[in-house]
Amino acid sequence: MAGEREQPAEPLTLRRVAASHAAARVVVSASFEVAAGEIVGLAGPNGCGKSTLLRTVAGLHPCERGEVVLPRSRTPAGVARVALVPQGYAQSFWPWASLRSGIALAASGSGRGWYRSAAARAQSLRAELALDLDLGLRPYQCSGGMLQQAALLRALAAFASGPEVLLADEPFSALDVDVARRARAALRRFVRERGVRALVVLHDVESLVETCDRVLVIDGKPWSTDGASEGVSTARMVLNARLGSRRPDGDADAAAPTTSSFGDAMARVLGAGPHP
Amino acid sequence: MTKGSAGRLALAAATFAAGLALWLALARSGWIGRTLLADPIDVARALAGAFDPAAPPGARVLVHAEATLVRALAGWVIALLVGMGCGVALGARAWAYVLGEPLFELARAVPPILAFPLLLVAFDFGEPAYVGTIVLGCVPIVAITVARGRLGASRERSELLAVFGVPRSVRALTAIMEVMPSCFLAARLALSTSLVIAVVTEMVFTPRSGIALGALAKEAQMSFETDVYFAVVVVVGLFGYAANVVLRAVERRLGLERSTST
Repeated sequence: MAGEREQPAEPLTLRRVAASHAAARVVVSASFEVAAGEIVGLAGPNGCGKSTLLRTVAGLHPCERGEVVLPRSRTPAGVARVALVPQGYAQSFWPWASLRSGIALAASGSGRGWYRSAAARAQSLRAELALDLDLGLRPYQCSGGMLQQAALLRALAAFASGPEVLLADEPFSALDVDVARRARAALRRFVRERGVRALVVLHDVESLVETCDRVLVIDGKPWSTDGASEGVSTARMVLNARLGSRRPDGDADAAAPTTSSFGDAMARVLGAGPHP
Repeated sequence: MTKGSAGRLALAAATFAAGLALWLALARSGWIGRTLLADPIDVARALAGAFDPAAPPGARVLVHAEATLVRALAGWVIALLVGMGCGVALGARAWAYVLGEPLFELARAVPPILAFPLLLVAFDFGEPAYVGTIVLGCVPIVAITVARGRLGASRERSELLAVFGVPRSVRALTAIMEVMPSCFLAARLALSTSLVIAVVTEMVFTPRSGIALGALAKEAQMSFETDVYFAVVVVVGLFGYAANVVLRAVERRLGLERSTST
């Protein structure tokens, strides 16, 4: 049973990570941790660097300063198993391969018999997540929502015992209300049971409330979790809201201070009170 | 055969039949003289004569066709190998494409037939001159098409494989598959070009063997044998069409046809 496994304790750690987009520094200094079994949401206005930070953690974007420390892995290679649900999910499947093969391709680093075992995992997870998805279809035969479900399924099924770090960029944006609700619940269950550290970019409040244990609400760019530090006096603040009061399974907790209008608005909407 | 492919085949057959009927009607109407437009029945007779074992080789259209197609295919295969190599190198990095693209675009703009006289002298009027002209005409087309295909390959997919820690061998295989649609497109473009160049070079200078569709067409034109001339046109057209259909079928079989539609 996956839930009974010993959970590795190390978190995903970001220490003063700085990153730029289109030659402009958007992330001045991001320092936070994502614990095993936790989902941390990144929310904020367009262009504030959420996806840039996610790509930096994935190793796809240069980390200009600071460091991203992945948890130690129990795999023979010792490299943490990182899975990604990309923002461009529709382009992330191979036109010449079925969804099943596309999912299995991402699993090809996981030892012998990777194709069969990944295909079997995808099939069983598809049922577990109650996704209405025919894995034999080619991408051009699928709607955007189906492809997004497949991208989520691929991230969860790519490794035999699940990913250790899950990075997802707006993973529910194309799903209808019912499917999105099921997918959010399934993701929470999966992350909890398998001790995954999940960092998720989300835009809508419902998704944030239903999915995340904690949300970093970014108030503009450039931003810093450390406040006006690193010599950048204009850095925006970040609201660190622990969700709970509205969540059926969460604990009521506090939030870090913020002063901005966006942060305040999000705090009100999310029902997270000010830091004591 | 699926319902869709059967329907496509039926439509193609209907188009051919309609074209043939129009040709027959025009030829029989007398509006266009026999020296300009052969009767399709006469053309069919000329083609049928190609299978007559008693006829001398020079009189058989298919003997000429075989020689021409061998030249065209030889040039096409060499051009594909060279062009794909150049295209993959050119499309590997944006700066490489910026550096190399003007050279290949310039080469593409120059009619390859201009190089033919030089190659004839260089290769002592032998077969390599014909094949070499085809290669010169097709390499820029293949190189630029493949390079653009490689540059346009999905970044999302390659990044995804890197994040998931997929082995290099699998990543290399998927990279090859990414560039395959542009390789097929280049192959189809180059095939029609190679046929054109093969026939034109044979019309400009008859090969030593005297066996060549271009040379036969030129002789037929000069002696007003319009049926033979049109038989050459039909053979070249049918071969080009059939080769295109085969390449498209392979492309469909590999699932590459929709590669740019998602």
